[in-house]
Amino acid sequence: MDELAAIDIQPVAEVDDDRARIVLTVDIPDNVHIEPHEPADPFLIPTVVTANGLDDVSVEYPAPTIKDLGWHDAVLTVLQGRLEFVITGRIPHDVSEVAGGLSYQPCVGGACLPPRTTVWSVPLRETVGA
Amino acid sequence: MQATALPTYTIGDTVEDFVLPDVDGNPVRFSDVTGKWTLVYFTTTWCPYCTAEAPYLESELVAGFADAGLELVVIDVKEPAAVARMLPDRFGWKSPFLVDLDGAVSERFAPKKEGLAPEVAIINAHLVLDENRVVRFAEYLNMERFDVHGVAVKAAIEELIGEGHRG
Repeated sequence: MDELAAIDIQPVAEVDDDRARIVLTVDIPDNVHIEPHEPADPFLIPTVVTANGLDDVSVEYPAPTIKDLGWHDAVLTVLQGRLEFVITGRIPHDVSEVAGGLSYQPCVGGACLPPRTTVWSVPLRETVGA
Repeated sequence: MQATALPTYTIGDTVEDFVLPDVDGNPVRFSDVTGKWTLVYFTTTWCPYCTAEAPYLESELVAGFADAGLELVVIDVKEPAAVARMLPDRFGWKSPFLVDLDGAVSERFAPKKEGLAPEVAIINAHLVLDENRVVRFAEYLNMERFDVHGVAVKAAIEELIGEGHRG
């Protein structure tokens, strides 16, 4: 079941002094969509990125698209295809790697699947202004 | 009882009676809440299609057949009652709302979909039963022709009730 909506996360980190900028490139399989960070309905499960190890973390989420299913009076906003999530934060002195998760609720062509989390990690190396 | 060893209900099968709790933990016998016609609907709180359809399910789709004796029974699949109760609370459903925490009852209704667990394949399914609890219609989630107003279900019920009247 999980393989149906398995997503691929490629994290890349840029480090500038004590600041990190991590870009998660996420590929959602064809025929799969996930909820955006701010779903159209508050009861739906939002996509959430976590990053452990950084302080003062902020996440920039990709903008959703409106999925056209022919509904007359309902809107479904979704994330699909290739996405970028941008994480920024301050690096504590003793941290050399950041790990986190991407929590999401997917739907495939014939079914909606329970929420799940895919984990990711990336080493931190000085890459900007070095 | 091992539900996995039992066959899935298909059109023409008689649904065996069962007991599930409501959101307050009170046991509800299925046969006590079915009617002349019964729409059995499977849902979860996290299903976006279910949430989109929910405002119209009872007040529009089922209410439109009240004179024909259509009852609604909602079954929440594999969620604790404390979570599941958000649905009737939010949408004001008055119909029986049953909590199938382990999914064993729902599994009997689930279609066979390759790669999908029964408790997933059954979500957003609509089954129409007659007064003898015989499955007369089944509609499973199809995103390409999904409609919040349940157009296909409504048409099927109209046809079934018409048959009933002729019979």
